[in-house]
Amino acid sequence: MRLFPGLLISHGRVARRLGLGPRSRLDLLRNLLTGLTRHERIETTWARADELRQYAEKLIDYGKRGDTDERAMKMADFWLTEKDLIPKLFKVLAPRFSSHHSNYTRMYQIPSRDNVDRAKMAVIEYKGNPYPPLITPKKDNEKTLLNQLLKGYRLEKGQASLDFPKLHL
Amino acid sequence: MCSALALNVTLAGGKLLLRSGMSLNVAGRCAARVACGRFYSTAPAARLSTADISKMHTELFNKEKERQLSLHPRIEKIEVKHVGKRDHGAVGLMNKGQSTPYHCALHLSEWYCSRSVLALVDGEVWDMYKPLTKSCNIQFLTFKDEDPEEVNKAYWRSCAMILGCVLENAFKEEYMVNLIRAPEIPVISGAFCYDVVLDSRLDDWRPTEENLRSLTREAHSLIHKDLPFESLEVEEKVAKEIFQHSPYKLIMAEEKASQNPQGLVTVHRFGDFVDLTEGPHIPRTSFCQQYEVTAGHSLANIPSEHVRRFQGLSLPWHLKAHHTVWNRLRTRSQRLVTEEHNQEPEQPPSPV
Amino acid sequence: MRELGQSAFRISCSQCACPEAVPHVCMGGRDMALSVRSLRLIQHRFGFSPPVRLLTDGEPTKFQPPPKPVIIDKTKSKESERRFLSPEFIPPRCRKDPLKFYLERKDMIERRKVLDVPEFYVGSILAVTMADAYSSGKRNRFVGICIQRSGNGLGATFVLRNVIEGQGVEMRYDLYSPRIQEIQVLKLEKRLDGNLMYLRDALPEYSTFDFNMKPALSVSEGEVPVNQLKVKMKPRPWSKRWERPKHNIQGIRFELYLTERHIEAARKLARPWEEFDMLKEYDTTKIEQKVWEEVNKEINRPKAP
Repeated sequence: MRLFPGLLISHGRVARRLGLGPRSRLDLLRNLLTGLTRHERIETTWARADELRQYAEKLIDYGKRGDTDERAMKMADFWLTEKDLIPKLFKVLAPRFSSHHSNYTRMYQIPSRDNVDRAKMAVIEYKGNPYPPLITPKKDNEKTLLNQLLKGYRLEKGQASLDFPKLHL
Repeated sequence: MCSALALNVTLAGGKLLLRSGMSLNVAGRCAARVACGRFYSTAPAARLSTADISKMHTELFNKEKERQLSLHPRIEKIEVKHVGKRDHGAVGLMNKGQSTPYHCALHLSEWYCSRSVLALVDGEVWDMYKPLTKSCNIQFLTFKDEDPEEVNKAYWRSCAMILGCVLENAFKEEYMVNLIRAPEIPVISGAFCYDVVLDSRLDDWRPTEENLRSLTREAHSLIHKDLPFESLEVEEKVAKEIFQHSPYKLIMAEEKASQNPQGLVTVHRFGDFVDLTEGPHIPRTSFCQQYEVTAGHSLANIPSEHVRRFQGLSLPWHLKAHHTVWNRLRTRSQRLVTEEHNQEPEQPPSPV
Repeated sequence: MRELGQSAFRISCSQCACPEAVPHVCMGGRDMALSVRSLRLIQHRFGFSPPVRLLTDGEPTKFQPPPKPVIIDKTKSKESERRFLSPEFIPPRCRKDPLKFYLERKDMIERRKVLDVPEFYVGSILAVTMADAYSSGKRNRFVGICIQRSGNGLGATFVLRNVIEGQGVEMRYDLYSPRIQEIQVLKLEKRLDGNLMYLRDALPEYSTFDFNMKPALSVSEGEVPVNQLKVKMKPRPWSKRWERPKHNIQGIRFELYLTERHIEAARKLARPWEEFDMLKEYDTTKIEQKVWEEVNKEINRPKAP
């Protein structure tokens, strides 16, 4: 089935065109990725962040191969334009994600930028960064009245939360 | 045989047995007289009617309240400091013996007025409509706090008190209703309850679905009136005077007074209904949204009297449940709850 | 000796499971069912394989000098053998249902149980015997250098090229075509490139191969030898501009034909950043491992009675 580009992009089938061509596209993403590696949380347009995300995850995969791996070193050398970040990739980020398989990044949409072009904006970050979380974690509301009633119901039914999930309030 | 006949007549006559409200008091009584007059020509003479009792309750309560207010003829100021996540450290200059935590909430914002269920005054749980007596730190408790256990208890207590009020006024004049007490049932058991002893002529009566529905309607009318829960600390003497017509409450008042170091008893009132309960209450009846009287059971463990336990289920408007959830909880709440059920069964955390 | 010439992945002598560690000739082919028995008899009697080379074309058997004995080190374990998975087993990078490729693999394995498809690469010299209703003897044998392998699954093909009587001939074979009767590797080697289509523009001597070429003995261990041959081309223009970086040709002696201007023009078309585009990578090592295990299990499973 032939789909128009917007739908293809939304289904992850093709990449977006950014910048002035294929080379410019990679250069642009390269600068963004360098920034992301340095600051661990950056704010950019949604489209760029979405493209960047896949590269950011793959770079961590390369980082996990270790700094003795020639290909990984070449990749790090290409993608991190500021060379002082190469040790950070291998020594900080790769160990941080050593127990993860994927999903090293998190992305949130933020209000569109008002001043220039109303572009859809996003925040992208590496997980486990030192900043305070963008979204406050949900409180444990096990003890509210309704959840206590539901808990009693579950206990009586003898099945824990299988068909009767806890309500998040 | 007589009671059975009376029941038959009332059932034929629709909602006659259970009156729908205080306003229908007189009309209901007349109708009942007409219906049952042939069988009961004289009402028990020694007993006051429910309306008279509640009127007396209200009068005594008001008198005592005015007396206590008159103890502070001059307005004295106290400093109340708010403790909490937001508006931390806000200090209010309030009137001693007059200002309540609700007044403090009015000074903060509407959010506190609508959400606060209880106040924590210097670590002590305090009703929202109970006057403050000294300078203190105040914290407001809501349903969605991290540990809303006290709030849940207060809510359950208040719901039980509403149920007690409904039960007292639901029956015809000639049927005696003796409220015993509202046992403290943990929320996890699934229902609140109120124990009553009904007239011996109603021993064979079992509340039907329709009767319960009519009780529920009664309760909803109370909730709709948005009545405030007031609390008053009175001496044992006054408490005994208030509850002189209900033997169970008298015993309870004595117990309470003996437990309290100053010999004081806390009495609560909403509308015309005055009751003795275990602790603080929610501010207003309108905090309840979903409310249903779900079952009435006979307690078999007391041989001398026929004690009935009426049960109900309620949720505040802050925590609404989908109707499927509500129906399941409602079905569960029809089971007889007991106080021994307090300890929840320890279950190993099952793998999900 | 059950599967003489049935090993799907290599032409290996250790596969024939000869009882003695003796020099012997491995015969690729399955049309010798009759001679196999006699072979075994002779082997048993004399302790070595007879100097026999059977031609598959039905030509009269003449005396041929015995090949040089090759010492095969039987002490080497099976694990040290070269692992080779035919490239058409690896599914392409797409969103198709993997079931399709799985079913195709099953059919491919069924075919491989009947026909010995040897290990070969672009640059190897093959002899393919094919059923042909119109030729004499109902079969047709073609010898040539494999210049391309393409397709995947059951539709995999390879192209053989040879120059016959001054005329370049290319034959494209379906690897799993039922008409193919035998595929014989005459010389197993790789070239510098993965695609030798440029041989069309090269001098004919580079793609001329004798039909009577004898099969060289293959080695089942170690790396496949890479022929470092760089070819000379016919004068330009060629069918394609092979100097362009997208072809990435190593096996042409460009310096003989291109001026500085040509090289400069070609260099402008280079896209050196593409190797860093991580999304264009298709890492097949894991898939390869999985498919290899699956295929190996199926192939070694004895046939149902």
